[in-house]
Amino acid sequence: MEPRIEVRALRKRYRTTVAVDGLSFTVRAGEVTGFVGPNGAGKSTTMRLILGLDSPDEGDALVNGHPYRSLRTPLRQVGALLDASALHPGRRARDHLLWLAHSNGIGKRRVSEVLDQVGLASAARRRAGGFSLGMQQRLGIAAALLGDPPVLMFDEPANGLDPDGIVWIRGLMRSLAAEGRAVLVSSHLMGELEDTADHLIAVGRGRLIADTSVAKLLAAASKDRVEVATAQRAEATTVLANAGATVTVAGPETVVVEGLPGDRVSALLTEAAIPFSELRRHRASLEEAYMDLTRGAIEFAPETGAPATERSVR
Amino acid sequence: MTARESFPRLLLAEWTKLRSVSRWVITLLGAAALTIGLSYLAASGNKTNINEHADFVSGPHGEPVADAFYFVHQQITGDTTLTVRVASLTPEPARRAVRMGSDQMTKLEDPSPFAQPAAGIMIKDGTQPGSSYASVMLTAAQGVHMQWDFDADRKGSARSGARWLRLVRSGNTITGYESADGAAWQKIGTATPKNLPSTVEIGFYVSSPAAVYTTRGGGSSSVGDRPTSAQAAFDNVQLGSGGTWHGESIGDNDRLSEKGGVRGGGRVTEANGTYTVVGTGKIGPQPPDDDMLEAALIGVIAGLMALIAIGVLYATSEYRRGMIRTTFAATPRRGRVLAAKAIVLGTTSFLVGLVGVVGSFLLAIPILRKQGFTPPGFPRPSLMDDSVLRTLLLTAAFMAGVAVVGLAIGVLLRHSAAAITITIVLVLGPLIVGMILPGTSPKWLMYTTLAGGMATQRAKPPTITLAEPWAMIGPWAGIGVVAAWVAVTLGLAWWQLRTRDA
Amino acid sequence: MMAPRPLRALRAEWTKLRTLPSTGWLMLLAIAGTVSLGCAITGSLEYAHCESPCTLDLTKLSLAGVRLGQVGIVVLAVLTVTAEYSTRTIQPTLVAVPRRLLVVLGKLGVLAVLGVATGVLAVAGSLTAGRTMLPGNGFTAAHGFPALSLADDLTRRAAIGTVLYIGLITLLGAGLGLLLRDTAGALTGAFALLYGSPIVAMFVSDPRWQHRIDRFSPMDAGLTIQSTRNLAAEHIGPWAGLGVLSLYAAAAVIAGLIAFQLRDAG
Repeated sequence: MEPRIEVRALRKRYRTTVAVDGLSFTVRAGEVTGFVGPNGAGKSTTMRLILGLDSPDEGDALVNGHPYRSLRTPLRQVGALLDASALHPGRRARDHLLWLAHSNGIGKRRVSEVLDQVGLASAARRRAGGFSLGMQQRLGIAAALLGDPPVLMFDEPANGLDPDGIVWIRGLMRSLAAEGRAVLVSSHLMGELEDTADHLIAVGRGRLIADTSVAKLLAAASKDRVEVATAQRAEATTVLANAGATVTVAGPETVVVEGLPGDRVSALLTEAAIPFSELRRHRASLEEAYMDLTRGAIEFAPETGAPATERSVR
Repeated sequence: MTARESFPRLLLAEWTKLRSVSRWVITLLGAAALTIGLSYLAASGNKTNINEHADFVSGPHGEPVADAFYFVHQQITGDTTLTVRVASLTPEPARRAVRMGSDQMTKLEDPSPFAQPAAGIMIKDGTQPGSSYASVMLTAAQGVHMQWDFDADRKGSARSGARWLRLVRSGNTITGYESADGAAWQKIGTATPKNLPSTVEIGFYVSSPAAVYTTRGGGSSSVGDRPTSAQAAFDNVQLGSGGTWHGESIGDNDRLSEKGGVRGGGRVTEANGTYTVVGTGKIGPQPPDDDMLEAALIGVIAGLMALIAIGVLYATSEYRRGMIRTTFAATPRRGRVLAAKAIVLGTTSFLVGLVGVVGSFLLAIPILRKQGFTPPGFPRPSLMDDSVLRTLLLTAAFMAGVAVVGLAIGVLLRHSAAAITITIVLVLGPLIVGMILPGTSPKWLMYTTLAGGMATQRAKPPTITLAEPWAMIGPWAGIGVVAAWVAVTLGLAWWQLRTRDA
Repeated sequence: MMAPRPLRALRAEWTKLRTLPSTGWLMLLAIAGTVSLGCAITGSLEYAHCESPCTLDLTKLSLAGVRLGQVGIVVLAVLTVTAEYSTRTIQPTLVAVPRRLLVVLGKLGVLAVLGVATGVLAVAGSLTAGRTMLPGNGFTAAHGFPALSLADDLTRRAAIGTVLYIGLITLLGAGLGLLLRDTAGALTGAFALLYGSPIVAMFVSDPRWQHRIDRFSPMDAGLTIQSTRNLAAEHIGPWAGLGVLSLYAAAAVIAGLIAFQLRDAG
């Protein structure tokens, strides 16, 4: 069976707050699925529910078709990085992986392999209490990789990593997906997922906002906008606006034109004898696309709009 | 500059930290509730029948006393003066150890001036045991004393050997004198006994308190006593109006047995103006060892545990998530932070402890009174009694002190489990070990460890006849030990805060 | 090929405990505490100061150090459970072994084995110390005190019982840890349970109450099995006393287990 995570109508309430409210989605093999939403949107809770750490009030979460708690060797099926600081400070890095390995019948050799893989081989004999945030993160990733699992979940994996580390973890996730694994990565920063995620699941206040491929999302966000580079910005704006386009300023010599096809823009500018050095289709960043999405989330948080989502969900 | 002057603000900050953790507030309230609850529940575990078959008589103030001796006396009315010379006093040598039943018992040395074999002269309100008196006496080992009404004692010279003694009655006061030669007299003291009618009994007497033998250890204690006797020679007996001397044993003669003392309670023989008197018995306070207040405060041990946990966590929680860096960034002078913490915690714990002990007192005393803790063996305690106030305040201070020691050890070790364990062991360990250790050896544990603070719960004077080791030291010694621990551990914590990185 | 799940869980818990330096230190503390208090007590006894017939229970006195030494093992048991919560390693633990019963059984199994091992060493050390020191203080066979020996039925029973006692308080501590999840609370509770009742018994003067407290306090009832003389004076039978302690341990473990099954991982 193809590795996957399925979440169906999941609901979890802590005392008075509903952390996850009827969430359904599927994480498929061979893709990096980004799991996005503001802090407190219910991402970590969803991951805890998938891992059987907390019990859902309603709905269920299946890993490769089974509830997590029924797995006989869970680390060989799912690798998870939830809270990298969940380490006993008195235990050596290698020993932390060793007991995890023992619990799932994984050999000692594999422990050394994953330590090498995350670049901690030289720190293997050091006690975890002395680790920096980045080293803890690498150790947590090593623990996730330990059982060579077909499904991986990372909760904010870039936390505490230096720029080199961030590049490394992007490459790691891409290669894990390329090997045919299902990879779920949560983040509250869109930039981290740029060029990494193939698919995006966006949540706000515990509910699903979007479940879409990144390519589609970007295409939708880019719409048919055209970017024009010109030294005569003001004149260009007047001409294009008179022709019925919406023009926004995007830089000192750049405007973005919406509502007119590219060749029409080119013709209008040439006709008005306004010189321009470049004219290309505008490609939205993931950040922009996400902002569009969360603006759509206003219906969930009518009081103050998107940023309020973060506060009100806590 | 302004920040430096704001110690009250620092106190407020630390108080906010303490009260804003709801778990701690619940534990603090729980400490008082545990104290009161356990005291209330366990009070019914104490029962006494001491008033039913008492080994004491009631003194002039209704208090339990011993009043037994051999009295050679006559009746006299109005102001008078009696002078005698005690030529010799020979106490019966007491064995240091005896067997009673299956127990090996050792003699309890009681240093009280009321517990010494003595020969002296006395003015007494009749021959009824427990009646008012005043006396001057030569003791076997503690020199000359003047005593009255079973609790007042004035020390005279420390001489032993032959001694002249004199009592002068003038109206309601009796003055005692002593002299080496019968010529130069020194005043010892002036007594106003509670009941002094114009007609009283006057004369000379010999007393010899029973030797008390105890064994303790292995968690229990037992006490037994054997009567003893003493012999004294009196000469130069001078009384203003010379009547006939009449020898009589005062008090309970039944206790005199073949094992010691003398049959009939004593005797007197006279030859050439020298009276040889053999006597037995004790004149003095005879309170039961059991301490009613202590029995009402059983729950303190439970409240103490909760306060230790709070004290330690108040320190170690700062280190757990690196909050201490925020704290020290806000107040770089670390000693002041520690002082503020200690003051806030100490005050809070003291108040919690006070609520606990006062609550225990109010709830447990009525139960104890139903179970035999009644006068005369146990006078009714009131919150306004000196000894009750002292006990309740010192016990609350003890609880606060232990909480602060927990705080200091928490700062020193930065590890909750270690600090809690060490503090609890410092309090409870010596008690457990002290129960097992025989004799008076646990006394030194009480003088050196936090367990000594348990002595604050006793309203009565120290004794070694009880199983509980803390009864061996006095309440002030107990609180002193705790104060020393507070000072030393806070000092070490302060020193460490200064020298070690946060 | 692969070990069955319970064994894997046991092995993981063993690796966890083995790789923490505190485990060894706490066991050492327990052993040293027991033996040194035992030595202090036996060293202070002198036959010459004990008038005949001397009825001292030398086995019991030699093993009395366990009342202090148990502190180390209680701390070990409580911390093994509660440190998982304070360091949040309970998350990786439950991710690796989602069946919670297996986690608990693995922990309890390893702790019980460590407890018993500690007990064996502590008892052996205490009895050896007693056997070596007591004849020098006049407690010789000629005086009616043969050297302490496991060949003696009652001494053997005391030794085995003390080892079991330590095993049981290990479970008691772990159970309280599971129930309360909090180091401070569980430790305080465990010490209050063990030491509280003998101290309350000291306060209480009514013999019937003392009898009740001694019968039902986990430490006093559990250590009754150390007695080898004057057994009639004890408040409870030796095995019944260990039974009382077992009930406490079982209650704590079962309550802890139920709480662990029902609650979120924390």
